[in-house]
Amino acid sequence: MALQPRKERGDSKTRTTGTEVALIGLDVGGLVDAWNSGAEKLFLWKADDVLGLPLPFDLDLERAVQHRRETCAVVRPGEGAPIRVECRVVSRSPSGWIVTANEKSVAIERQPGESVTVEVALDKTRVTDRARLRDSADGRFRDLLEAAPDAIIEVDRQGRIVLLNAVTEKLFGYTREELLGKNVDLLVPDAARARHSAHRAEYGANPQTRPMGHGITLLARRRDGSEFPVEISLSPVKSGKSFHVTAIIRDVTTKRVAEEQIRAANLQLEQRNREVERANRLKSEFLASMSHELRTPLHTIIGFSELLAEGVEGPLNEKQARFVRHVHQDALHLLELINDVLDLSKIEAGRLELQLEPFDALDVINDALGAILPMAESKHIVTANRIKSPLPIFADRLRFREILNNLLSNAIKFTPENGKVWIERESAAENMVGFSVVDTGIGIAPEDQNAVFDTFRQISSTTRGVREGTGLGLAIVKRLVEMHGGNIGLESEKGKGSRFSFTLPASHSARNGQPLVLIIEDEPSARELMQNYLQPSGIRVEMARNAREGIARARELRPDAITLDLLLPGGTGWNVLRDIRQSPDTASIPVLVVSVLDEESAALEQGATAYLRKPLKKEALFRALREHNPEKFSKIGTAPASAVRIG
Amino acid sequence: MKTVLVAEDRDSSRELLSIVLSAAGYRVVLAVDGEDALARMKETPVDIVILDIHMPRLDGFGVLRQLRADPAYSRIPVIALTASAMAGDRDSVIAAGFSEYISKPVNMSLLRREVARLLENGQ
Repeated sequence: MALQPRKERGDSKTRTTGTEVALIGLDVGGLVDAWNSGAEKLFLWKADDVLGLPLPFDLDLERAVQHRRETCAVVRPGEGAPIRVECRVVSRSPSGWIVTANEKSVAIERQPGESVTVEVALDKTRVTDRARLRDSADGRFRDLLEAAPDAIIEVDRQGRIVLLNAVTEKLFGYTREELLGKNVDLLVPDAARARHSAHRAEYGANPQTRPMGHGITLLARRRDGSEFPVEISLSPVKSGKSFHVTAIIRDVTTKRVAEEQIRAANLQLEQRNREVERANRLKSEFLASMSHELRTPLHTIIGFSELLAEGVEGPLNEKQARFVRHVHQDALHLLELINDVLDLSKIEAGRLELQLEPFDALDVINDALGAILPMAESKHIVTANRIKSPLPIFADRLRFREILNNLLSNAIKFTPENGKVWIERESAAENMVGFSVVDTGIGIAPEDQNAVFDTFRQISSTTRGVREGTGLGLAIVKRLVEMHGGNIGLESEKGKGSRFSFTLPASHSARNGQPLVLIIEDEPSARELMQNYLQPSGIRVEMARNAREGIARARELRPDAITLDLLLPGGTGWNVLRDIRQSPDTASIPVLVVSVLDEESAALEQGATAYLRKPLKKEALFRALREHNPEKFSKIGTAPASAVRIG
Repeated sequence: MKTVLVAEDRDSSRELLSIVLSAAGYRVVLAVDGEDALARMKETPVDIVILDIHMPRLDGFGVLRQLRADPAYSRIPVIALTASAMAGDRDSVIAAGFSEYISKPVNMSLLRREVARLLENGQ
């Protein structure tokens, strides 16, 4: 094996075009700025692949300086066998190594018996020029880079670090020189390294700007081997033929700690919630058994007073009959009170379950008016139903009847003789049906109007001369209406009368062939966004604003797809998901969970069809719809809206 | 004349039911609990049974189970009386095999109507 130091000393031009000599030029940043055909042959890298990048292999120039003409590196070129490189360096500049053209000597032994000389060269003039350029044009960029609070690293297509800022040095514990030219995988924990390389390759194939705060936290590795959590944003940088990636790396250790604290606080809250729920359940059980104990003696009080009043055991005189009637009426009132308290406690303990079904409100209104007729006639009050056409609603029939009973008996109670009480249609939001129960009664003063829906609140001045109610009727009505997802309000003028208006969900039994998506989402802006995505493509949209409504609407509508937010008031999206999957009517409907949470695997396990992350992109939503219900959504997003709009 | 068995542990309620049913033209046999009810039925054939659910010794469900297991009474109408009023009570009572469910306080005309209806169906 013989090394053949080159004796020839040509000028720069000769060397760069010569064929026998591999010539490599480096600038002060250590980036290749000359790579001749000799270098291409020797190292098997094309000039285009290396120009502007650090050397694709290690050259231990430090050793070369100390020992002169010594084998200083074993390098593995592009695709060939490892080769030994002997290099000699004669000087260095403050900002990097300089190997002058004239005094270089880098010898390469490619195979035993064969050697090639390589010149590692750096032209001093070019250096100066570059340095000056950097100082001026790139100055501001440098300042920006160094002023950034996050670590910033630029890597080339092979993953080698070509640029970094001071924060990177501090964060990872390496010096700039140690990192430049190294593979960025060095900064990844051993366990994740293979995966990281794969990710890099993937990213290179499909480069996109990926913002920070995507919820993905990775681990990074310091020089001392310790690991810490980071969030990373990536952006591709293309210039000419080179492809680089800039990574901004943020240490999220403190953020993690804060998140841990929040999680702990949440756990505590959950725990407290469970305790409250348990207390509530105990309260409700107590009330149920109380009610049982109270009703048992009431049963005989009412029964015997009835028998006496009927004269089963012989006739009573007028006074005795009146006494017995008082006992009987007050016993009935007591029963009413117990029933209302029980109802209210069931509602408040969440134990009252609505049996939702589509039905014609008109039938129930007529029934309720019929039942109240004797009470109305005894006061010569005229009752009327001003709704003439069928009115399909989606509600609990018995509870709707209870709402009407309460409002009607309330109206009749507070309306003087010869007054009027009627029910009429009221305007309501889309998908809701509005009703009003109107009377010509004594009315409610404005200052008292807010209190009428409170429990045990009766307006003392207005109840004079009126048989008292339980004081719970309107409180129950309000809760029942709200359980249906409706609302109730009051308009009243003292001496003129009152109007109680409430809304319940409309029933949509008729379909017109348009695909239907049910959006279960409490945030108005998110609802609107999805609506704006879907409707222009000819998709019909229905909304549910809480968990209960979501379950009810899903069963009622049986939509072609459901989007489900996981964070909902009145229960969680998890409950909705479970219910949809368990109910045979809805089990097969695709449910696209749309959430800010990082719960994809849990959601899929619980039966979600797809998991879409907020902020939701239109194309992601459409893709999921097409994929999971191609029959209904195959055309959306692929053709102009007019082409698929039906009806 | 049809015979009604009333099993109810509370004296006042038992008397009330007895008067109401007698006045409606039925022969009434009274029992103070579930065991007593089964004993009475061995002595006297009855056409319909009214059981309070909550009774000492043997409750309404217990009596019903034994009746349904006995070929002589497997198809006799049995009405459940209870003062509890939680949702689902009615469903669980009907599911257990009772013919009807009436909650306390008992609406007497409803009771008379149901007894008459069940006896008629039983013919």
